[in-house]
Amino acid sequence: MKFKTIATICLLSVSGYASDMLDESEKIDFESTIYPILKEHCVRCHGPDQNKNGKIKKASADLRLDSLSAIMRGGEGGAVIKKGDPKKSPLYSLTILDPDDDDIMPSKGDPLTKNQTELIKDWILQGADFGSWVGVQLDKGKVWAPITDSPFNKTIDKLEKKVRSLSKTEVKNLTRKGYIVQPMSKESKLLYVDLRYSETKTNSSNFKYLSKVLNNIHTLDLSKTDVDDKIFSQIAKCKNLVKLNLSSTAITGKGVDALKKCENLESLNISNTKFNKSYQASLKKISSIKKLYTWNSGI
Amino acid sequence: MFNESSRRNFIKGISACTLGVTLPAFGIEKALLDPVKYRRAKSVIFINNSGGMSHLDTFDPKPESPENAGPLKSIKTNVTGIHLCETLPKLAQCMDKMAVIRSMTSTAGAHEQAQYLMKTGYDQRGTIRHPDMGAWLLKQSGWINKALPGFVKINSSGKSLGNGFMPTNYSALPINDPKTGILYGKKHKSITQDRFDKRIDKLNQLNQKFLSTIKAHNVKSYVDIYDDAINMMDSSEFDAFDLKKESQATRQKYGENKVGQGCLLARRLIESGVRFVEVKTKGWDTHDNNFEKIADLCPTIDNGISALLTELDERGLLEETLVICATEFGRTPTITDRSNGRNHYPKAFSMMMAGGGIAGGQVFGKTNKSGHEVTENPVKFGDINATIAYACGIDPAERIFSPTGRPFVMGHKGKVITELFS
Repeated sequence: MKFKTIATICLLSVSGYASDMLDESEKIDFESTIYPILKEHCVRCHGPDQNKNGKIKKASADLRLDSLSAIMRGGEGGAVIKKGDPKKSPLYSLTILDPDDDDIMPSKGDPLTKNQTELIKDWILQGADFGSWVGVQLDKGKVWAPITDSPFNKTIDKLEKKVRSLSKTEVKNLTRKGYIVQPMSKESKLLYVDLRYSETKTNSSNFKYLSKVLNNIHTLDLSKTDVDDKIFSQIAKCKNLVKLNLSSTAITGKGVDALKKCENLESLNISNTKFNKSYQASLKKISSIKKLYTWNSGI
Repeated sequence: MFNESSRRNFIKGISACTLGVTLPAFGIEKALLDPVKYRRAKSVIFINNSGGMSHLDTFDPKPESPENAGPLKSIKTNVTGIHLCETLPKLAQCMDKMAVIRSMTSTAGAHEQAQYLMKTGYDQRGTIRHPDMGAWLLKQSGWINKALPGFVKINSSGKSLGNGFMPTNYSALPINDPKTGILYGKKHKSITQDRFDKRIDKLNQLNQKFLSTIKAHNVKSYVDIYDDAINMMDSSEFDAFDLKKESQATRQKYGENKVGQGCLLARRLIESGVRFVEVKTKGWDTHDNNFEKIADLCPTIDNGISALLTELDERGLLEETLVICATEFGRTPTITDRSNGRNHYPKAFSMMMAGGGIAGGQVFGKTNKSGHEVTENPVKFGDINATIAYACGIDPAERIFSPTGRPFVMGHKGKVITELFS
């Protein structure tokens, strides 16, 4: 059976339609074909805790390959199988690295044979079906809480959908002469902008330098810059602004009600300014603000 | 031959595929997603209690075990249900800003090796010198204010500057005493700008030939240091190093000692755009007369860190500054008969994190009744380093290569403790 399967796959791979043409009977069975490979080459490290000279050794990379729920959960690097896409499934892709590569699996002992890696590849291509195999039944255990649960990240995720994407060159061109303009994360379309230490002094009139990306700004730090009350109407164009720092500037609060247009503004810093108490009422009307820093201001 | 695509790229997109179809059936609704999300902290202040701070006498009191607690009691904090040792009354009032980790565990029990592990996330080896977190951060996030050094070590002798295998420009500026700040940082009165410029020109002329023949990285970065120094001398930000600019009342609030003044200087430097500041505190190696020494030591961090957290918070800086108070290992819960002291104990100890996206008012991990064993959520230094990377928006899986081409990652593949973040 095993030989027949391999032979079939080899034949079909040549024609290039492996997954489409295999009928149900030729399907690679995980329990009889794939699991023996994992058991022999992987589970020694990616398995149950071991007691080595009195020290408990946990599964490498927090990944166990002897249990269905553990395989699906993945390891510390994330998921290990992407159904139908072996190249994006570390369970396969790490086994075909160059033997000298630091990341090759198995990391100890000989690499898997071509036959073995091809079997894993085709099994993933076929949809990575485990059949009735469940493996070791683990306690549910504690899964690290996904980061998307945090309110900070939730706001970003929401805004992320609303803004246009920026090219790397576009962002790079803005980052010069001491202006710090960076995406909030590698893949984010939102920007973190810090103009405190730019070579050309930032004031309310040369702010239009950012005019094309105003919608993308999430965090804006203008503290210690030469901006004044004229800046409020300009900032109001940053529709998706969440954090704004105007501390140690010449603002007094005149025109601050324009910030109402920044519907997502959660954090406003006006500390160390001559912010006038008479504009406090306007501030209160900006209902989105959750954190207001007023140290050493007029308030 | 070398496949550059990181582990992270594998995860991207996979989750959607595997998640929806299979996972719910096994009771795990959420799988691991992209570990790096969004930057929370701009800067880091790392308070390094060197010598090994006793966890029982600070962040993990054990009143239920009087033979180990000694004469010390626990006190309530401003968060219901969380208690700290009575040695930290002011920090107890900042508990709502802090996450206390009580499940630190390590295998390094000698000062040098343990300090190395804490600062780099890697075990000390003979073949390579790993960079400190500060150098990692500078390398991956860059300078905020180019006029000032990006990495400063306060109360440091300057013995280890922390750049490890990275070029010299990632090393820390050591400040021996926060009260004196930077010595000889201004031009002498008799030297005019014109004369000064001429001298620098001469120096550059002399260097020119050498630099054009020997084009090594290290040579270049040594020369860059001169430029950086001149930049700093001329900068209006140079005052950041001068504690005399603060009022007497503020200086007193932080405590008139190297720890308190170090914390104050750290705040000033962060305000001026320094990326990473380490404040070293000394004397925690309490092998004998533990309780007398603790009574002297704890008020220094209690005053310094509580003032730091309060001031950062009121200025709106705590949101974007990660403050850490850590130590290389804990001390034995059992009090020695002979000298009334505590010895080195890496198996279980505590540390504290605040700001930079950390959700305050929480305790992470647990030790048992006597403080000898970690019983919940053990945390290693690698995990802490990876967590700091995460807070700063750095991918803990992104590899940096040593000059010989060996790959390293911040936190040595440690696990990010995402529970700590709000």
